[in-house]
Amino acid sequence: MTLLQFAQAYLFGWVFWMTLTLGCVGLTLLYHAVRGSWALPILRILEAGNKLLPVMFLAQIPILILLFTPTGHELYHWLPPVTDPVLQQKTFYLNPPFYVARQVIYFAIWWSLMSVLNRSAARQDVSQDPREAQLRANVAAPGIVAFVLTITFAYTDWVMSLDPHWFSTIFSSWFLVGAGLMTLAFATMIVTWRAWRMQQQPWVDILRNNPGFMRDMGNLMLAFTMLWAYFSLSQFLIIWSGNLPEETSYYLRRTEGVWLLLGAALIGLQFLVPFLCLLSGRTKRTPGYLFGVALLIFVMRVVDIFWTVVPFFEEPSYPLCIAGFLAFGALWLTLFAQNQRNATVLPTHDPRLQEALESGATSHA
Amino acid sequence: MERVAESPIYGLVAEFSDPESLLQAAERTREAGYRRIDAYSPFPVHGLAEAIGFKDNWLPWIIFLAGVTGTIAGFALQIYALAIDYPHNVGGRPLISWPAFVPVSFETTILLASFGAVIGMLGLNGLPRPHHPIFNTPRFELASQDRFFLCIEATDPLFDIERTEQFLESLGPDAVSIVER
Amino acid sequence: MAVSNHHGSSPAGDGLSELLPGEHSYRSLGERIGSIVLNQNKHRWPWYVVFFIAFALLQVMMLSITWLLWRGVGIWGINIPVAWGFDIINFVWWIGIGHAGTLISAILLLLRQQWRNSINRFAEAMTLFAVACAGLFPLLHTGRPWLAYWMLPYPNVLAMWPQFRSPLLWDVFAVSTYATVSALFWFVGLIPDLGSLRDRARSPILKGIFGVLAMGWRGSAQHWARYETAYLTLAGLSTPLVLSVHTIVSFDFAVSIVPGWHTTIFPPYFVAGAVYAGFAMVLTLAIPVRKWYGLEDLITMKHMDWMAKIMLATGLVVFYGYICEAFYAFYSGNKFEIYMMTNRMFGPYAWSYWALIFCNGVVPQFLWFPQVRYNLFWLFVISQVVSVGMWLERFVIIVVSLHRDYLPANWGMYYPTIWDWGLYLGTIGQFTFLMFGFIRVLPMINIFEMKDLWHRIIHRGHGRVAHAGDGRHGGAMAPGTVQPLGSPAADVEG
Repeated sequence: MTLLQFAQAYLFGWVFWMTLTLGCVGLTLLYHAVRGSWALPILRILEAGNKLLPVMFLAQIPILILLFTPTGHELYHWLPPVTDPVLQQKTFYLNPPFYVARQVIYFAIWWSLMSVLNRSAARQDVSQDPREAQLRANVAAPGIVAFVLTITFAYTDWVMSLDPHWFSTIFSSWFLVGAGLMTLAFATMIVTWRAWRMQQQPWVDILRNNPGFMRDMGNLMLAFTMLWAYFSLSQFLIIWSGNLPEETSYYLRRTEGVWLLLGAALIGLQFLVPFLCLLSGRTKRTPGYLFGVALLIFVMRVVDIFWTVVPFFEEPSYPLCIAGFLAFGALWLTLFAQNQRNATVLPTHDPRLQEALESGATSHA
Repeated sequence: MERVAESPIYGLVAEFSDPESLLQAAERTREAGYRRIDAYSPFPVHGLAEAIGFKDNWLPWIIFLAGVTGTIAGFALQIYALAIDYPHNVGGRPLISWPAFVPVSFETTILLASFGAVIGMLGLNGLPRPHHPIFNTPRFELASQDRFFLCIEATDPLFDIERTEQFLESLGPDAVSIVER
Repeated sequence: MAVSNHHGSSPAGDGLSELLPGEHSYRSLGERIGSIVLNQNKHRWPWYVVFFIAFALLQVMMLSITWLLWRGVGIWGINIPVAWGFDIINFVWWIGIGHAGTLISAILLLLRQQWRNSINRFAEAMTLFAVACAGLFPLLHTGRPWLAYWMLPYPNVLAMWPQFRSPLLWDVFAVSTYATVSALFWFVGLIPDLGSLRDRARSPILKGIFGVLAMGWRGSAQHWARYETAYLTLAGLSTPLVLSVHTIVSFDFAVSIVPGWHTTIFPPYFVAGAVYAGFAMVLTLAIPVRKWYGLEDLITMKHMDWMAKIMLATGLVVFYGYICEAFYAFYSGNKFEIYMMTNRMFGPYAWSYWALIFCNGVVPQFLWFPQVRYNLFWLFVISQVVSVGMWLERFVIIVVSLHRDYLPANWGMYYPTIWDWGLYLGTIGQFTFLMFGFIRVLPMINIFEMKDLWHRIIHRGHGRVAHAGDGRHGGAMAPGTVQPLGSPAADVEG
């Protein structure tokens, strides 16, 4: 085990759980911008996730320090000394000080957006002042613009520049769609598990009295599954057809040996099976089924990000990468559970939630 | 059955002025044991199909199968054309260039599924059908405007002109009429 | 920067009645909408003025096509290296415009957005006519449109098959499927309304025509149940279809290796651009028509606000696409990519790039302000700017990328001729001609869905549908929102 292998495993674990954190950030923004009541039951879950931004930033610092060591160059080839003429052209963007500065900017933007929104939602829970909702909408709508822009550069920095010769303009948006999908699956798993296996309140009531909630979560997962497939296929088809060596290297590495099997599994289990399951109305009415589909989606998100990130590495240790994922997961989930305990279970600022809890309110559905 | 089929009467039709009354009447008619009933409204009234006891799951399956046929036909056409009937090296691409075959197969899937939806819907509904006995109902031209009709058909086992008419009158309609074939 | 605002305040929770304010009845709604078709005296001078200008432009189109068929595509400005000029620009422009129609009718139906009800018929007609205009261009660009059937896969004496690996053939399938499915969707939506017109028409000829078209529709509850399933499924099928069509259009460019064309962000960015341009066209048509026909209470300011918001959102996605293109061109380190971007910004066609940024990047930002979204004049102006901007986008992508690609020896310039302009303006005439013809012969607002909406508004007064109106929340997929046709969205197929 070398330091490089350790760094690779660390980076993979960090990227995966950072993606889930950003998924929570993105859905929080989306909810506040459009005030869709689908997110009300899961808002506290999203908030517990987005509150982990500072921790994830702290966790990134070792990677940032690594940029200034000799091992850094083995992980990110664009780090000095740069001898490759193509990479020399990229130093305007890919250089260590600017890289670090960008990370600070990203996290500052994300964290300030989240703290404004989280606090406003909490304030309104107490005060019931409807102006807070308007304030959040006014912050969240431009916030989405800032979020999508920063995400684009962030995934270019973290993942795409692992192979600095390769580039794909859809790559960051592809990650964003995947983040949304996995966050929806994550939240669905929590809610259905609590209601279905643990018989916990208020989740049992929410699922029983408000069938629209599960249907909405199912339909959202369906939409994101289709979007994921659409973005994946678009990138693949364009690169496959163009057949330029500087681009095809990405897929060549990911279709060697066992990687090809993983790729095929993605088509079947990240797209086809969840897609067909979610088309059916029964899946969206039965908590156990919906839990199963959400679990499958989440597991396949792990496989997909593994398939995307790890082949960038040179001679990685696969067990170590899995260990990195698990270790980060343990940390993330512990802190997430703690955030959940420290907050109310449901937001109370929106009267629609109360309506949803009362029996028969949506009996027309 | 023979006798009923030859009966010159199609059924008894009650007319209502709003969808809520129609819905209630339909529910009560079904509770009273009538099975061959139908309701007519100018726009879809939620719950009305359930109220008259209508359930039909054919259409989603027709659409699904039509779509699957489209996918298979799309791929099969392209593989046959480019790999079997006229194998030809184009730009070094494999004969079965499956990524390039996805778009056309997708389009054929949607095309066939859509035709499945439209033709399936019309076929199951028995349309187009230029004439239907229900059109003999007085004021039925308002069924597409702002009146709501409930029909108990003569083929219903419980159908009896007098008792059924009494029953319909008890639902509080604006009018009840005997409709002939 | 109030994004979701409560302009035009109404009683709290009364989102639905904002979409259909005032007093109506089922009958009055049917009469108001139906009479535009049944009472031809309702058409006043604006209709005649627009129709005859459109008709004149249509003649320009006929002339341009005739001369083209007589002389060949040499009368156009296309050359080598710019072999795709106005024809493909206009093809993409028109097909994009069509997409808002499908979006309004299908996606918003799935999202249970009630505000689509009064504009969907209109928008679907727009889709059909825009696709008709779009289809002309590639057909004429082949130079021998009478051999167009060669593009179809059929066993033939030449023993040849079309090249299924080519995006141009995907286009044939995508556009023809799109036209067919849009027509089906439109027609299925029309059936109950045709039945309504059949029952209201007095002249036996009209009764006969509408009767044949309505196919014996009698509004049976069983029929409605299957009808709703079919209609929702068609919406569910049209949604990925509309995405696929503009995706395949973007593949026309992206699967090649021309710098400026070969970029993976193209599919979603093209789709967003299409919807953006389409909403601009819906607004362009809806703003005058609702005034001329006194439909202000059916197509309300709330509708305008929603459309403006969607225009803003999709405009931002388009602008995001420009940023990605520019950033990754420089990030790539590939000298052809870098030159392509430098040439766009500072080359001979720099004017088109900066005009594009102004039209699609700067101007739509005004839509952040509710004052602008609620001002019909500015909304109309912005819609025009957006239409121009989306045309410029295709100009930049097609002409500017092609005119200087790899070898400087192959560089050249592109100058459109009068015949390019003639055909382009002519199709605008054709489109307007068809739109205004449609207004006269078919109900431009969906009658039965408006009745259904009215039913929900008055029905809620009785307290049965507990919390129907969610227009105020602006929420997509809200569990509490009512569903337009009463069955669970997307619960199709098994």
